[in-house]
Amino acid sequence: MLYNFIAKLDRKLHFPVVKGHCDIPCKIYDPISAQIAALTIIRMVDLLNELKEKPSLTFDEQAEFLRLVNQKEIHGVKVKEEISIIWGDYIKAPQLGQYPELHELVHNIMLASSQAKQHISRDAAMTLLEKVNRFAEIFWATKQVTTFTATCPYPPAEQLVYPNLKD
Amino acid sequence: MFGFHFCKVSGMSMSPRIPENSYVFVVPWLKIFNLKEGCVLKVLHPRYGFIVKSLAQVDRNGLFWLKGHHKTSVPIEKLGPVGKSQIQGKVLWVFPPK
Repeated sequence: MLYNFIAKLDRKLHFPVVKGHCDIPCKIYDPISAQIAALTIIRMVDLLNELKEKPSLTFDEQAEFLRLVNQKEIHGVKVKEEISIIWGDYIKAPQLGQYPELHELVHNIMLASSQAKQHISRDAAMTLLEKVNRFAEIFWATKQVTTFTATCPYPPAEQLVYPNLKD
Repeated sequence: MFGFHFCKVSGMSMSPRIPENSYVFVVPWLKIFNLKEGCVLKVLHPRYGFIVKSLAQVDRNGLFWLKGHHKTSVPIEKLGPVGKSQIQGKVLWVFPPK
């Protein structure tokens, strides 16, 4: 009754709003951000390897080198963040029961991301993408969504796991 | 005159203590008294605007660390500490929706 009375007052007086601020919009989880970050690392490695072919770098190319390395770092951290949020907030006992490999897989993603950050290595970046793709596969399976693998329609044109949302 | 007022709570980071769409009765001048851990405060946060959070701890520098109650709440370290001047008042009563 008291609540209704205050609600009526609110409609007339428009009380200020205070937010109970959440970290992310609740229940919105999607591994695509991690997958795109892993793809970005591969793309950065490809561009860095193109620079490596040049006998010497101009001033602009040196700036580009720094920018590429910086982006590779940023996206390495992003993979870790995105995966650990899903792992920490979404993955619970039922999903772990279905897929006992999840803890080890997540830990391996953390290690693979560090490897991809530490080296300019396409192999390391590809290993990371494979693991993140596997994580995406499991994630969608826990939601009873089938997946398919396709080549992403932009560089570095690597295989990505997508949810089949039309089923 | 005394500055007390109602606010509507959006978001669920304080649930179950303060469910979404609750009204809270805020008394600004109560902040002059000793604020104890666990009390609910309205704060003007530099990044998140007006928020309602629980007081987690007062550190040795006199800064106030805040926390939510729900698992999705912004974590304490991400919220960071706030000064007393950013505290807009203490929540005295909570009116949850039916």
